[in-house]
Amino acid sequence: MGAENNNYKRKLIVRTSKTLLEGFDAAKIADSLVREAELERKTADMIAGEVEEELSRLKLDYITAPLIREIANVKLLEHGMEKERAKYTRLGMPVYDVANLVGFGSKENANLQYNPETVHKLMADQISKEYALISLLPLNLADAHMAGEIHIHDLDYFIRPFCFSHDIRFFLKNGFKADGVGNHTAIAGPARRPEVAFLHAAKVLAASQTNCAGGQGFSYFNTFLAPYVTGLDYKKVKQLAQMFIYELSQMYVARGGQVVFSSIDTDMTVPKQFMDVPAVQIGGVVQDSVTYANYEDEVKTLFNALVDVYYEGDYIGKPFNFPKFELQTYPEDIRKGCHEEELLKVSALAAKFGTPYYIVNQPYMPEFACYQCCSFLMPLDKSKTDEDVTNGTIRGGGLQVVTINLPQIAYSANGDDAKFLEILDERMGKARGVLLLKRDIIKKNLKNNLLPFMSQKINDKGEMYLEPDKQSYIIGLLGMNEMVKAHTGQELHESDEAWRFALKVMRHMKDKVAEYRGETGLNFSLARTPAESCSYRLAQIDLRKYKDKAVTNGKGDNAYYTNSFHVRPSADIPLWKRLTVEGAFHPLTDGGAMSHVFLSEANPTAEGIYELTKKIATKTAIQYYSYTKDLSVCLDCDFTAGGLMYKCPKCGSEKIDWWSRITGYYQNVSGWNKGKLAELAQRRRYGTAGDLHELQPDVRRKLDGKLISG
Amino acid sequence: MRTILFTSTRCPKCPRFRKMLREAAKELGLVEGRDFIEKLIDGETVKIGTRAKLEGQEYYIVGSEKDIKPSETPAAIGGQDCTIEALQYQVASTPALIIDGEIAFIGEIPTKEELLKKLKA
Repeated sequence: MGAENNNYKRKLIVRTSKTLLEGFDAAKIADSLVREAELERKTADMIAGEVEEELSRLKLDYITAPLIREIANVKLLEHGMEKERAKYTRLGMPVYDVANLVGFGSKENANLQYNPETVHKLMADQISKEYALISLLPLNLADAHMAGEIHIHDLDYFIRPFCFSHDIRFFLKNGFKADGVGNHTAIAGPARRPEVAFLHAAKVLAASQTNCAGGQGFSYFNTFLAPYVTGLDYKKVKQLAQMFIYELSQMYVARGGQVVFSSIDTDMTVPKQFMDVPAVQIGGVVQDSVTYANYEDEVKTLFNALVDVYYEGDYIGKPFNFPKFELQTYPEDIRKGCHEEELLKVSALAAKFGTPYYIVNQPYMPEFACYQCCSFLMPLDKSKTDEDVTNGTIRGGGLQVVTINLPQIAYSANGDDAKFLEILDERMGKARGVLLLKRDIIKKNLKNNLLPFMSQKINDKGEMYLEPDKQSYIIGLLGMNEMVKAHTGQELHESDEAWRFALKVMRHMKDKVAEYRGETGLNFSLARTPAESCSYRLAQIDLRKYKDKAVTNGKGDNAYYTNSFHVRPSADIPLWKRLTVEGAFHPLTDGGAMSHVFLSEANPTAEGIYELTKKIATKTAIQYYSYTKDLSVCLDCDFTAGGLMYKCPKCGSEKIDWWSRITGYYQNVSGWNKGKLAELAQRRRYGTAGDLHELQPDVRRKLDGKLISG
Repeated sequence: MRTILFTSTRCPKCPRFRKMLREAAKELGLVEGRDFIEKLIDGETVKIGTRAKLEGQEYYIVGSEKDIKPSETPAAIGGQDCTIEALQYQVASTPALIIDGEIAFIGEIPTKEELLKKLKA
């Protein structure tokens, strides 16, 4: 090295990532190459020397440590050391992207408000996602995601489990530690007052959200809390229900400034499987002689109170979007006319706000079927033991979701069935690989105490609250409709042949998932994916790659794929045909499915909803569905009206917020991505009698404007 | 076909339903193969042209409703996988009775009176 270089070395100042100014020292580069990229000392010295030469050529006064690292990465690549570069590289975002996030926010997740917490979360998400793709996933699986063969959900949260269904009895009996260990938060004992029990319930979901990526919910919510409302008058019970619902719709603290993605499964009567189970009573007391059968009245009272609170809405009469209200129904009971009063009440709620989600316990479903997150079925039969039923630890969730892009397979198969199944198996194999990798990651993170809420011990045997091997490993699907269109030339609703082919594909997937279960002993399942963002992302990837061959809904940068096995949202067919086509797929999912009835009427009747509810529950194989009523909330007078309105029907203001169900939850339309906005514009809306309705022209123009502006 | 009974060779409830359906059909003068048929959703497990013993009674296994002869009843459609067709009728558990394309009973056995009422409607 010449005198000039030595002189340069003395002058160059490095702005380090520890916010210090330090003199340049090539040895530090070599040290880090040995430590991080695992280079031999000799090679590291060589690379560091080349970096130094490069810097001297630039004749800089100052340089940042990240730029030095990038120059070192270039040198590694010049020497063919790609693997070492991947280890040594830096994760982050371009200044331009950060400025855009700070300036305009993001529309990838409609739950995210534009606020400082969200901006911080999205910055962190970017690093976390890149870390998963570069460091956690092997190249072939990362590439499969990037190429749109599969979609690995929540890559920004790949180090966490996905969703979880809780048993409140565990906390009623044992008290509550928000951080799972009690080192950072106060420790509460078993609730001795009803208010405390309901507050603990709300805080459990918030606490577990810090460890999980997806939704948090309670199964058998009003059954297990029934002992805590004993002796209280209805007004007091309603107050408790109101407090709980407000807590979960106002705690704006989850995952970077949003409410907890929460749900409660409710019962109209004590479920038969808990009739003889000793109840957890105030103070966590359990007596063999007092079972849940003793609390039939309280279950009903709390149920009615919850429905009444949801029906009233918030202070300005706006609906509560969280916790999602889910209703356990049984076709046999509905056929016999049981619970008519309760069902009519829930129908009134559906007619007013579209709030309820109906779980239809079809004969083909497991005994313990709890719905979670956007629409994932937790087949708790697989994860629970008899001890869990009596001890209050019926719990479980989806560890991870990976979705298969079906249309892309059809583009490659060129109408050849055998080729199609061959590629499908290969893609499912990749999904399986991702899910098994996730299992290893979660096991490691539980062991390292990275997930303290989930690793808390639940018994003397040392069993953890989240046991990875008892979770669901979910494989989802996207674009069945576009797949059959590409493969057979017709859409799901257009021909029996296309419908049958799709059902055969679905059965093949279900059989493959069962094969994985047999081989691994793990609970692999097939599910309808919520596809809030992947229906758009994968369609956009395929349009770029397959151009005219790609079959999508919408055009250009508004194009999207139809969710899972759904009929195309814009298909001009009767409601019953839509529900029948989709219903046939529900039994083939063991990890959850959902169908939507998009309502057109501004004011449907409760009776109309009830009649349709009875028909869906007893005449179809649908296991989970909802009625979606679009809502318009006036920003000037706070009035909430049914349907998408251009002007407020009360004060005439054009300052209107539209709300609708984006996938398995309601959200403000202003946060929807372009694909979902296009779907909103194209959805076929029906009256409860099954009649078709169109959007008003001025509303359609406004939606088109949103699509153009994004 | 107005009435289809979907059954399975391994379903514990199906024998009672298939027997009850034929008794009710006899009372109403319904003809097997013309007015009603039975389809085995796991029909690929039995061969067409053979006789399968279901609940102690022998059933003629045929490939389609046209192959049902009055002298060769009771009969059931087998030799093929009927699960996809059953799913198209929203049937995922047996026994399931379809009348005019809609589920009349599924996963349960009605009383004979309930069954007669549905068949007469």
